[in-house]
Amino acid sequence: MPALVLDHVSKHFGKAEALNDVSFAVDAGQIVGLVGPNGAGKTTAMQIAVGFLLPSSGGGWLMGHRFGDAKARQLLGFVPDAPVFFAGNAFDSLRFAAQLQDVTPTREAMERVLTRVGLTEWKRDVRRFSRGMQQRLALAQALVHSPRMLILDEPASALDPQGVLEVRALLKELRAEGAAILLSSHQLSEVALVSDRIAILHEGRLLRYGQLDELIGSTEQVEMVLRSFTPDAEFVARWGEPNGAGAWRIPSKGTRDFLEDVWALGAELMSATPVRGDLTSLFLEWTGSEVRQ
Amino acid sequence: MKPLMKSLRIARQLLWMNRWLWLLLVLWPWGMAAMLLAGGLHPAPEDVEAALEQQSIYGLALVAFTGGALLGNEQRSRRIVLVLSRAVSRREYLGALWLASFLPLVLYVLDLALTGPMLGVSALVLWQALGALLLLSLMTASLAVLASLTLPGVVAGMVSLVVLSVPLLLPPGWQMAQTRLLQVLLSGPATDHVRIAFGAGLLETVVLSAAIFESAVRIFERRDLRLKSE
Repeated sequence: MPALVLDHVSKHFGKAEALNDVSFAVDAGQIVGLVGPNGAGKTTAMQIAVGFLLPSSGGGWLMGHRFGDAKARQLLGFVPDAPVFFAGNAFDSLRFAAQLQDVTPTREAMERVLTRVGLTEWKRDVRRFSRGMQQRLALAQALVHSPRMLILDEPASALDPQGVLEVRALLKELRAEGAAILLSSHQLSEVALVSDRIAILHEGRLLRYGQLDELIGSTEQVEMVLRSFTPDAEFVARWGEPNGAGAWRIPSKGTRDFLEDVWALGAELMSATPVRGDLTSLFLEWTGSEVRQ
Repeated sequence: MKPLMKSLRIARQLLWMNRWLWLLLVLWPWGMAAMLLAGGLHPAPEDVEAALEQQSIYGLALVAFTGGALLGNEQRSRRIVLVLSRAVSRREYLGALWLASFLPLVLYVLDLALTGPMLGVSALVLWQALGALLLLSLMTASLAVLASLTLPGVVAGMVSLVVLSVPLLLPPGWQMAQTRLLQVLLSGPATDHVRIAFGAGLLETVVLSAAIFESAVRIFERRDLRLKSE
């Protein structure tokens, strides 16, 4: 059974619909990237999985237990979007988090975890940490009891580039160790680099879910550059206006039809370059967002 | 045992976060004693009994207002996320809130037990007042935790005190042991059937507190956490 299963989950807050019939799963040894614009429902989905919110309909399982069951969270590590802590130093925070998971860590084990997440400041009151350090500490708290499932809500949003690289490496290590990871982030390139599967949420609906290669493959385009060609109205109606560089971007499966139209109008093809999409273009295309300059 | 240990660990964190408030309240009986003894004069028994009565009501208010405010504070600060994302049930969490509102009262009662004899309070008056305070606080903590699920902190505290006082309004034939405890707290010691009143009061308060706490757990388990989004 997958480590995490969302099964037709819907969530309403009054009349507002936060999630609508969302289903996906995260298997052991797999990272699933959860992406979507602000308000898409990413945090709601994660909060339902952790048990903070109850689904309006549908349900799911976390480590074989129903959402909300404390036993389910025994093997869960969770990093919230804005971590907060009780008073104390890094060791106090780690010990408290571990004890709530029925684990009593040794000093050496805590030092190992803190080193692993790159936190070097151990003695100061953690509430005075920078946001980046707090994020590292939250990650350490999530890892201190060796969880089999991780739910990470923007775990690197406050980290510097070096920190982002370290988190990326850490996630890959954890996946290799067999952990299942659900990762939400606005840093789409980071998500694309580490995720085995991507779930794109928009306005509470799951728009796409699958392997990145499959998703990107479905939007492959070809950029066509033509010589001595003035398109007529019928051509423009079918293929649109050329872009700024005087080229047309068309779906790769429409190449043959495009060329037939071009040749029928007596134009000459100068070049045809496959354009491979990336997660960002995919995201913008499916969520209907526009690149703002 | 494990659930209680978890609740105690969480309660300890909550108490530490509010340590200055507790400290101030725990020092209050000593401050009152110092004021009454100031100038080397021995205070009149009526003054001492009035002060004890007043302090007992403060004690109940302490439990009601802290019990009513804790859940809201923890949700607002989002520290609840740190706790409930771990292997902690909602029951254990509410248990921690209950303990964090009741345990300072135990210290407060100890303070009163120590300062009372210094002021010349008779043993009968003291043990009855403090016994009634402890028993009624069990109930107040449960009521405050229940009320805090739906009401803002101060309102929850006030509502729990009002509900606690309802037995005083019951007609004589319907009076509960709790009514007797409230009377002891508000009007001084009872001499008639006091053992029966305390024995029944203990049973009644424990049963009612447990029932109210259980209702709070059932409701909390069926509710979303109210988390401010960042």
